[in-house]
Formats: sequence, structure tokens, C-alpha cells
Amino acid sequence: MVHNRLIKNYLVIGGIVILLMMVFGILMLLAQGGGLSLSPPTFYQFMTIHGTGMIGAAALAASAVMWYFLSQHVTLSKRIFKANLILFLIGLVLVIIGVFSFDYASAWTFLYPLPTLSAKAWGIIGALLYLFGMLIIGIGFLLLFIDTGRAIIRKKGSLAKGLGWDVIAGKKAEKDAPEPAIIAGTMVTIVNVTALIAGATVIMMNIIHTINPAFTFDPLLAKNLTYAFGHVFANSIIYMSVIVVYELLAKYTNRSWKANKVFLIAWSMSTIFTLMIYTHHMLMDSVMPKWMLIIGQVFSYANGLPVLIVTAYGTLMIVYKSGIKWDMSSGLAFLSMFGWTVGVVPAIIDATIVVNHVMHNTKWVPGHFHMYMGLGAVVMIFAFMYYLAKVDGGLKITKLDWIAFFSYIVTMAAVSVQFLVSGALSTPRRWATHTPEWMGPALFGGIAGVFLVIATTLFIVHFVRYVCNET
Amino acid sequence: MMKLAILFFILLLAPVIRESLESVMVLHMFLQLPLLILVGVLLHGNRNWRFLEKWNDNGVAGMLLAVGVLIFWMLPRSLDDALTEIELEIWKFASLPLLGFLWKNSWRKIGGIFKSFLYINFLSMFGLLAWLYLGTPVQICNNYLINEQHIVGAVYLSSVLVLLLNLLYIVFFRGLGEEAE
Ligand code: HEM
Ligand SMILES: [Cu+2]
Repeated sequence: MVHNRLIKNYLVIGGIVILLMMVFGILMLLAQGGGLSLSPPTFYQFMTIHGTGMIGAAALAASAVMWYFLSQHVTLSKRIFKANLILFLIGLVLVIIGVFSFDYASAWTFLYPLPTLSAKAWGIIGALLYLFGMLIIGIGFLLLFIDTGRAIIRKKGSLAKGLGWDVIAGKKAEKDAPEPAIIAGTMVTIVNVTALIAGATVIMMNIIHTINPAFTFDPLLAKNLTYAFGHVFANSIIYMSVIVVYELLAKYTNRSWKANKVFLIAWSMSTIFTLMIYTHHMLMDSVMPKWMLIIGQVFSYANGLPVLIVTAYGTLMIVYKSGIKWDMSSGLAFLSMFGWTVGVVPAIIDATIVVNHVMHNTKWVPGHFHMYMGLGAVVMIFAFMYYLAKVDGGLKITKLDWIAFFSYIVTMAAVSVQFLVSGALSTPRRWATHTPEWMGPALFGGIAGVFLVIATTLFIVHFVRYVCNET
Repeated sequence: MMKLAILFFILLLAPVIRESLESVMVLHMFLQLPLLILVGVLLHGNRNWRFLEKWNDNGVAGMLLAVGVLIFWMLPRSLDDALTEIELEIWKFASLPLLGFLWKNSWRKIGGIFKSFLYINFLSMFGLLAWLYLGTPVQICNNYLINEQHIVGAVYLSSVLVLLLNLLYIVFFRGLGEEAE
């Protein structure tokens, strides 16, 4: 199989980091719930490492999903793929040192001028370690997406053709449409290269400001660039992972998942929307031009929907009367589509400006993204792990895996719903300390989280068994 | 080619030209520097330069060196000091043609990914510099006033727009063209 060694490394590292970060999540919830005493600085260090680590590790593992399937259609560079992994690890080490040895705790969004002006909560060294760590991780991913972009252009002629615009325009027959892996790969390349350009600019800006605070920058532009980076990059995770749903279901049902015009249009729409809607993070910034905020609102409703709808519909269609055999990987793939669908609902509610004025910065927000990340994107990654273990390693599934499967659903749902309930109670997000009336849901979520970690451990153990068997 | 390069170089060295180009910040940055780089490019011409083949076979070493020199001259501080310190001025007249020379030698040798990476980096670094020059309230240079800074910022911003449009044109319409190996 294609470069399996590296794919496995990506997934093992990604999986283990996700698992570790879950532990920090639980510690945070327990602290907020009053079951554990953490000093606020420690809480914010945990929150910073949890956010950074989760997004980084999920993106890393998701890029392996994308790489695996994309490389079956276009020629990708193995050296670049390896370089990305190495740069990721270097960056991660810098971030960890910055957070734990030098008390850096700005949250993963490092919003200017927080990295520099922390009221002495941390020093210059911590900030620089963190920022350079992020820069290095970003460079790795940039190289990766440059490679995917160039490979797609080489094969198809242009990114426009990678998205099948010639088919949409009727210049080419539907049967010659690009494969789903290429379409998704093109979309992710476009949005992530954009995100990483914005990210590199704003990270370098923060570095300059940290070294010499006399150079000040426009904070509103900084916030725009920061979210243009953060929102888009975090969003891209699900668009990389979803490729496994297409490929896996096609293989399992012996049917092919062919892209038709509607499918192509949906992916193009989501490409554009994803780039536009980061402005929903600015709904409270009254100085932003109104039209931008309206775009943020309107398109946040619509953002993931096109791809979500064609994928969910396609999933039902391809499975319908196919006589598919349900196993862990197809079960997880199916679950992930369900989780994604359910997970966007709270986001849509929150993206309404009127609602946002109430829910903004409550725990409703982590409620939404834990649901669609935890029950959607991350589940796709686990589906891929089981898929590889089976298709490539022929590894059998045990009862324990199924127990893990169902416990995962219940406990991840509990963790997400707990956030939503807190949000409905107007509990602010990112508060280390909760008042007694806010504590209940957090404590409950913390306890559910413990079982979630056990379930996730079982997933990873299964994959590691396959990795060890193979070599 | 080589004669042209030398002629160019002598012209740029001529006191009148040198002083008038350096008296205005935007000319200093966006005319004198690029012309000095051009001298190196012309000097290189289409020759093979055997002595470079050994250590700059794949172009990576040469390119990294060139980029290093470029970054040095993109720091506002360097240009400012070149006006007052003669050593730095000499270094400028030596290093920038060298940069052009190395660039020309390395560009066709390095891989496509490296090229794209450099291109995209210029995009974000020029954006950063535009932001810095246009936005920061402090006067960055001793020798140039703050409104000159703004002009330089505007030029950086325009280059970002040009680079961006060109990138979009390449990836959406033209494709990699003859550049694809
Ligand atoms: C055991 C599972 C998990 C638990 C218990 C957990 C817990 C938490 C908690 C308590 C917070 C801080 C909430 C607040 O603002 O007060 C948080 C934030 C966050 N979590 Fe999780 N989480 C889990 C899984 C995940 C997963 C799977 C992802 C993504 C792949 C994720 C990504 C994030 C992000 C991005 C933040 C935002 C950090 C910030 O506000 O800067 N988490 N999580
Ligand atoms: Cu967002």
C-alpha cells in the first residue's frame, strides 16, 4: 500500500495527542465543576495546550487521511509529507515548552496584543516559543498543501478543474468529473493556503510586537487575520477527513461514489463560504463594516451545509439496499455523518446576530464545536484507523471495540451536551472559575469524559495492534 | 550581458545617481535595490559558471544564501544604517549583485515546491511589511520621515495585490505550464 509507514506514524501520533489532550479537557471540566482545584493560570495553560493540541493533532491525522486517498490519484511527494511530520513535532515541542515551562497561556487563538501584554502572567520567552512553534507547524502544513496543490494542477490542469468547474460549465461530461478525493483535496488546498498566508503574517506580526512593543499594529486587522487563519484551518479538518467516508462506503458497498454536478457545486460553494465566514467571530466588533458582518451571518448558516447535505444524502443513497456489512469502520463513518449533521445545528443558531448577542462567548460555542469535532471530524479519523487496520492489516474486531464504539457515542455526546446546557445557562466560556450554579454540567461532563478517554484508548489500542503486527 | 551589467553598476555607483536614489526612501528600496540585484542577474547571464556547479548543484544552497541576503535588506534598519555607515553601504553594493547572481543561478535548479513556497512567503512577508509601514505610529528610520514610510507601505501593498492576482491566475487558469517538470 502507499507509503503506509508514514501514514501510520501520522495516525499514531495524532491519535495519542488527541487522547492526551482529552485528559486536559477533563481536568478543565473538573476544575470548573468544583471537583478539582486548579489555579487559574494553570487552567489557562491547560486550555491553551488543549485547544492548540486538539486542532493541531486532528489536522495532522486528517491530513494523513487526505494524503492516503489523494495519493491514489495524483503524485504526491513523500519527502514533503515526512517533512511536515517532522516540523509538526518540532513545533509541538516548542509550544509545549512555551506553555508548561514558561507559563504561556493566551489560548490557541493568540489574539493580538495578548501574546505580549499578559500583565506579566508570562514573559517574552514563553510567547516567542509558542509563536515560533506555531510558525513552524504552519510552515510544515504550507509545504504539504503546496505539494497537493501542485500535484492536482499537474494532473488536472488547474485548481478550477480540480473543483470540476469545467464539468459544471458543461464543457466536460459528468462522467469525467474529478474523483471526490481530488475535489476535497482541491478545496482544502485553496482554503488552507489562504489561511496559512494570513496566519504567517499575523504570527510574524506578533513576534515583532513581542520583541519590540513600540511597533504597534491595528488590532482589528490583527483579529481579522487571526480568525481568517484559525477558523479556516480548524474548519478544514472535517473536509480532509470526510474523504474517508466517500472512499470507505464506495468500497464497502461495491458501488462507486461518483461526483455529479450537484456534488461539484456543493463543494465549490463550501470552498467560498469557508473563506468568507470567519467574520462571524467579529459580530461583536461594532466597528466592522456592516456588510462584512452580514456576510458572516448569512454564510455561516450556509457554510458547511452544501457539502454536508450532498454527503449525508450520498451516504444514505450509497448505503440504501446495498447489503453493506456493518463493522467498526463503516459504523464510525456513518456515526460521523450523523454527528456532523447534529453538530452544525447549534452553530447555525449561534451565527444569528440576535442570538449571538446573547450566546457569544458562552459555553454554547464550545458545545457546538465539540459536537461536530468530537462526533464528526475525529470520528472520521477513527473510522480511517479501523479501515486501514482491516483493509490493510486484516485485523479482527473484538467485542471490546464495539463496547468502545457505543461508549464513545454516549460519552462524547454527554461532553458536548453538557457544554450546550452550560451555554443555555449563560455560563461564559473560557472562565477558569465557575459560580456554584454553573458547576453541575461541568462536573457531569468531566466524569463522562473519563469514560470517553477509556473508549478512545481502546480505539487507539486497536490501531496500534495493527501497526505492530504489520512490521 | 556582462558589459551591460558592469555599465549598470558603474552608473549606480555614480555619486549623483547614488545620492538622488538614496535621498527618497521609496526609490532607495524599490529602485536602487532591485537594480543592484538586476546587475547580478545580468552578470550571470545564461552562462553555466562551472565553479558553482559543485556546491550549488541543486540550487538549494545558493537560494538559501540569496534569501538570507534579501531578508537582511528587507529589515528597515539595514537600509537606514547604510546611509550613515560606509561599511554597510559597501556591503550593500557588493551583496545585492551577489544576491542577483545567486538567484539567477539557483532559480532554474530548485524544485517547484521550493519555488511556490518562496512565492507564497513573499506574499505574506510583503503583506506584513505593508502593514508595518502603513500602520505603525513610530518613525522606523532615522533618515526618512514617517510619510515616506507610508509611501513604501503602499508600494508593498500594491506588490501584494499583484502577486496575489498573479497567483490566482496561475492556479485557476494558466496551470503550471512549462514550469511543471
Ligand atoms: C474528552 C473530550 C474533551 C473534553 C472533556 C474537552 C473539554 C474542553 C474544555 C473544558 C474546554 C474549555 C471550555 C471553556 O471555554 O470553558 C475545551 C475547549 C476546547 N476544546 Fe475541548 N474537550 C474535549 C475534546 C475536544 C476535541 C475532540 C477537540 C477537537 C478536535 C477539542 C477542541 C477544543 C478547542 C479548540 C477548545 C477551545 C479552546 C479555547 O477556547 O481556546 N476538544 N475543551
Ligand atoms: Cu468560526
